[in-house]
Amino acid sequence: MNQQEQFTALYNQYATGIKKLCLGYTGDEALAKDLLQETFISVWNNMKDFRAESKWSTWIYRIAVNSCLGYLRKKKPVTIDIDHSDFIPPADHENSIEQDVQLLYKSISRLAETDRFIISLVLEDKPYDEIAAISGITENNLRVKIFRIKKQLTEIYNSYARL
Amino acid sequence: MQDFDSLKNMYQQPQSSGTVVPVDTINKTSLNTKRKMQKQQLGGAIMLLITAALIIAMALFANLNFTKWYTYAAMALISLVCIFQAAFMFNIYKKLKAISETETPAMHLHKWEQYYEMRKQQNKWNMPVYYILLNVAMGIYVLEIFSGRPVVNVIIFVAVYAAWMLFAYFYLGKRNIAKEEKRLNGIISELKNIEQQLSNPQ
Repeated sequence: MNQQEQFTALYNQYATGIKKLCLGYTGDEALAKDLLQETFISVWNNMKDFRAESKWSTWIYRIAVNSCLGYLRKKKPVTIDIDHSDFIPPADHENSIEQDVQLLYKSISRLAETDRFIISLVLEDKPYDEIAAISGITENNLRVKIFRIKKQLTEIYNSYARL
Repeated sequence: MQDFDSLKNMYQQPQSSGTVVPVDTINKTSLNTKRKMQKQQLGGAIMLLITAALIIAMALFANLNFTKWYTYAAMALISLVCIFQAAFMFNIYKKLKAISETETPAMHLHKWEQYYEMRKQQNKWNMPVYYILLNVAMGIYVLEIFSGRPVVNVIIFVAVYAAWMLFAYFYLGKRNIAKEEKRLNGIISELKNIEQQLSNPQ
């Protein structure tokens, strides 16, 4: 498999998950697409140095997290006033689900910077040892953090959902 | 009221809108932020080296017919300043290149923090030194060019040049340094804050 084929395979496998992670970071579709692009440019540029010491998914998610943290350093996250945002009453069931999902991303983007990527990985059902490898946090510390973040995210989501 | 498992189910649903862009639209030749910064430093260093080479070539081969040794010394000094500044920019380029996106977030953030701390220190001395040396060299260079010219013309030129340089150094330069320092302090404090989030067990 040449580099282009491998890149395409990796993109097809991980782009959706990375995009969700970026959406949770920014709460904004256009910015998430930019960060997805930035992540995969770095993947392409660093692919030749991949030494299989970790899984592809760990390696790619780590690049994505670093890209997101880099973005936050340059720009403040988009702040959305939930009271006045475009939460119009859902027209049908599908729209309602879509709006719930958007509200979830916006709720994630309200968390502290590092909590955003940790909870996004938990929501994606990544095993704890992989989250620890991506973040460089020990599994014990991670468990404590995850317990707190889960509670915090649920509270934020429910408080917005009541509005 | 939704519990965390409901949020997880919601997150894992396939998205009906806002899907990922097709792979062939990812422009792999475009530059991410770090590479843009690297390119800027490397490009600047190369331009300065070309400038130094051109000045040296002029002094050696352009039949300038200057009669004073210090005019050639001024040209040499200008070239040296350009070479030192190029080396300085190349060093920044190397530091940037050493920051890898594949490291753990804590290490990645720490390297960025070191980079910005270094820039902050350099910001204090690099520009003033570069500016003063370049202007001293330019001052020596024009000594011979102005010799024998009407005194009034020389005075007018020197006054305008000195006024502009003083304005640029004491007003524009200081203001830019202060602005840059504020920006760097902001970035460093944000990096420290995120690093602290990672190291805090809670």
